[in-house]
Amino acid sequence: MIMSFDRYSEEWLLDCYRRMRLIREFEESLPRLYREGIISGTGHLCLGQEAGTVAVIAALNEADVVFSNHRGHGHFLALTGDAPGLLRELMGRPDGLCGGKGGSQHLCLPGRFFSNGILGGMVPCATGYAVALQASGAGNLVVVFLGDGALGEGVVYESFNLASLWRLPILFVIEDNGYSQSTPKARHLAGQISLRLEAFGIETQVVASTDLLRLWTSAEESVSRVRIGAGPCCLIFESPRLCGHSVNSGELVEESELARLRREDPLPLMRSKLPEGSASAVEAEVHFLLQELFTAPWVRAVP
Amino acid sequence: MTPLTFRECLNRALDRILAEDDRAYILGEDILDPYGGAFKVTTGLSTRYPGRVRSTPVSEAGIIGVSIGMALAGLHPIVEIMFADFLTLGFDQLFNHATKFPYMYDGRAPCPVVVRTPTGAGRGYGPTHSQCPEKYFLGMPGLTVVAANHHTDPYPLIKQLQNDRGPALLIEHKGLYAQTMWTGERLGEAGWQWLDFKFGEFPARALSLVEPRRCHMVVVAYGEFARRLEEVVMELALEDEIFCLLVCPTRLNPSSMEPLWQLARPIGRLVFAEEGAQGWSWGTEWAYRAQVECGSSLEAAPVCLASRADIIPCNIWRESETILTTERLTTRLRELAR
Amino acid sequence: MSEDLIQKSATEQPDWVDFLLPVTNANDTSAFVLKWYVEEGDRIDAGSPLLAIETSKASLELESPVEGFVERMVSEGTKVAGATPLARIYLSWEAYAASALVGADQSENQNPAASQPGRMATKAALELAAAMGLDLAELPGRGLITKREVERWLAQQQVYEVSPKSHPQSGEMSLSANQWRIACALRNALTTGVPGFVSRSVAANSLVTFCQDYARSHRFALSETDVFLKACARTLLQFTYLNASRQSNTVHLYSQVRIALALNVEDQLVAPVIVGAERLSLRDIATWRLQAQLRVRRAEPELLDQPEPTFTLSNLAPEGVELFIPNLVPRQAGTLGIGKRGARGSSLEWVLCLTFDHTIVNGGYAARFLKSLADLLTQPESLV
Repeated sequence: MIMSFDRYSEEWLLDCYRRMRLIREFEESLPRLYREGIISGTGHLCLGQEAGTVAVIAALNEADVVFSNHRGHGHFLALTGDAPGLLRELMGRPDGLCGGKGGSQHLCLPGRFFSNGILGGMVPCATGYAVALQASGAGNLVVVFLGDGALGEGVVYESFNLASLWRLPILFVIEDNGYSQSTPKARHLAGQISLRLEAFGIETQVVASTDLLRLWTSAEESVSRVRIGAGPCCLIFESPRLCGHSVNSGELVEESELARLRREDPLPLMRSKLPEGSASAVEAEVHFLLQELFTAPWVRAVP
Repeated sequence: MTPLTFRECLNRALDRILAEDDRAYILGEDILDPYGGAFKVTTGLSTRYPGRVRSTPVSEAGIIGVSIGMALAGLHPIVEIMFADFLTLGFDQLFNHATKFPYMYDGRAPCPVVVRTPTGAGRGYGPTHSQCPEKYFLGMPGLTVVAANHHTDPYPLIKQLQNDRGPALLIEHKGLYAQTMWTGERLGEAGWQWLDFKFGEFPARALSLVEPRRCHMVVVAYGEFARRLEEVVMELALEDEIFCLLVCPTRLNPSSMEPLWQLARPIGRLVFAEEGAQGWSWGTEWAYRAQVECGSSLEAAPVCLASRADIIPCNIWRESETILTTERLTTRLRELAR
Repeated sequence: MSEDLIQKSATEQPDWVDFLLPVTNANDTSAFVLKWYVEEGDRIDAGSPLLAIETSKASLELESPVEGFVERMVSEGTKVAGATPLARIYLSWEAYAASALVGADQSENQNPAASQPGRMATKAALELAAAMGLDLAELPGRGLITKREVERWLAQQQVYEVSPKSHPQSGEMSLSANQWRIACALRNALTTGVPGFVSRSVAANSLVTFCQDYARSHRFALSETDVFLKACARTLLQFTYLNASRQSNTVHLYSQVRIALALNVEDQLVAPVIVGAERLSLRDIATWRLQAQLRVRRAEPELLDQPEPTFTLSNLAPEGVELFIPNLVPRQAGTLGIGKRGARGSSLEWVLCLTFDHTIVNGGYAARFLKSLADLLTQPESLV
């Protein structure tokens, strides 16, 4: 679902907003499904991270590849828009994306999207995929999403090292939401994230905003750099996590902190940039789509 | 024609694979010319195939992960982990990634990574450079574990591993590299009879000095340890007329072991011998399966012989305190034949 | 994998014959394997007993249809269904030896009979070869030489190279080692003892009938020799001076009765020894005799390790001999020769002839021995 509109056109902006709303509403509908046993196990929602996700995806082309993590519904929906396929997979149905075997944290669209639930584990795989893309010479790249929590894992640094040494076409997108599960950044991360990347010679941009356009501009710049073969780049998006770590973990931050985070919610920010009528129309459209989806007869708990 | 050593055979196999398949890559630490790898297996390859034979930093998890990504993208990577003792650093990439992708993605993402690594003692390299850690990988669902030996040409073996949809671990005992490969002619001259068969798609060989019906027991061993068993079997035959049917598989974790039971049932006794540490091992699993699948034809419970579960001392002359030696093997098999 | 992995060598001319379970009648399609009379790889003559089976009706001794080397295909104590191969008889030693694991490069040496230079041999094989003065390079075939291969080769040389067909018509032939040994022993016996001879006829009818009835009721073919052995042993227990030997003026009475049964095989005279026949059942004696006959045919080196006999018995009645006066045997007080005359029926008689050492016993004692023995033979039921 790559955007074919002119950049910055109203249609393009609306499309971005549509994707963000799709992600937001989809994710917000999930806790009920978990509670009612329609989806079993656990899930990790990406509320608040929609803007960075859509910004990066918007900068990619058809042949670029996305690697994601446990908090990957948003990455998937931004790339494919396939809410029904995702829901089927979350429900564990045989007609799901991965035959119902993978579920929330293990999604795959061959040649386009791969996610796994081991923190940092996909980073070297993404790096390896980039080796293949580099060898093909077609100018495509790999994007790998990781969180600030993943920066505790050693294999992430091994990947930075290799990617930089071999000048691989890979873009590391660090969604820094300030928490590793229940642990705030101050307690799990020493020093600065950006300095880590710079130490490996990886060009890094830090965007402390949830404004889609700002995020997109940075993404576009980094993607272009990587695509021309200048070596790996990194985007560090400071975005709020407007939900608990997982659907089962409940809210892990204090109410006051949550209120502060909500002020950075990218969706109202985006909405304010759009004509009122069009925004509402998009919201209604997405809402209708998802209502149909979630009230479909097959969306029920299997005894 | 002078017979080839295993190292030469392996080098030629890798050369041929790189020549025939432009998607084949070799990754490893210090594998570039002129050094050519810690065990000189990749000599000449980086010169002939620049760009596809890549030396990496010391990052076992990273390079296994990278090879997984390459495989997802359709390349055919072969990773050399310098010592099998270091495989553990990449355990997660095999356990939670490479073996999972082909299955949890419902068959949409084959991942035929081949990880090659030298194992074993015999050089005085000490506790962390002499182990046989393949046993820790045997129970991993989705991983094919194969041991090279001096009967089997490594080229078809590696090609077979690359054809599978999941990752594979190829064990090469350090002592194998300098060993001369057996040819049919040499085997016959040395007095052996043999039968080539397969476990699934992977070759195995049964060796004997007399007709199988005259053998007292079937002894199963893999890799270079099987070569040591050849010496033991020869000694027992010549000295005591105790005859053993020696079976040397390549695949250590086949799904069906029935071909072995067909050989074992008429003889009635089974022994599994390995260099790895005893207990929770390759041998214990095969012994369990033997008991379940052909126990009614066996005169006694299968026997597992292995090294002691202890560190391997650095002093090469003290390795035998831990490692199962041919002398102890000979004694033990002699006792079993009584 | 359902197919058998061990491949037998396939040649155009059959190298072997499969001996199937004979189906004697329509109701009897299975049988129980009682006992093998041959070991794995043993040589067997056509017509020699191969194994004993039991059907619902009878116990049968099955004979080999051909001469060859036996591969046993079923175990003792198993039940086999109709048309099961019981044994595979290889028509030549090379064919038997070749039925091992086949190496991939077997084609390198097309002539299996040519001996392979530098063949390995086990310690036991080397020791036996050295003891028998055998050059291992003579052995045909490939692969490891074990003690069994040496024994088989020795057996072949001793028994099957000298056959009646190859007797020279004229000229000189040296005595075999065995023959010379016997000649020396007999000459010695003459210098240490003085032979006396007594003879007696015994009606054969009751014994012949007894053996037939025994066969019918016990489903086991008993021969008269078995009865002679037991009767003789019993009688010797009473007449202990005939179970003795003399050294100058001391008579040594043996504690056990150990009877040597003289067997004539080709030009050899070999006498396996049965110990304690007086106590054994007739069936056990018969089994011993059958096995002894087989071993003698193969001239197994183990025959050299027989216990020292105290008495010797020779039954030449089956050869049609009427009267047979045996020679004294060294260190034995007596030896019995048996012949047969007359037609079938009431005129059939055994002719017993006892040669005794006159320095130990006199004619009367010997005659009483024969009478006692004759009584037993006319009432064979008392032996059971």
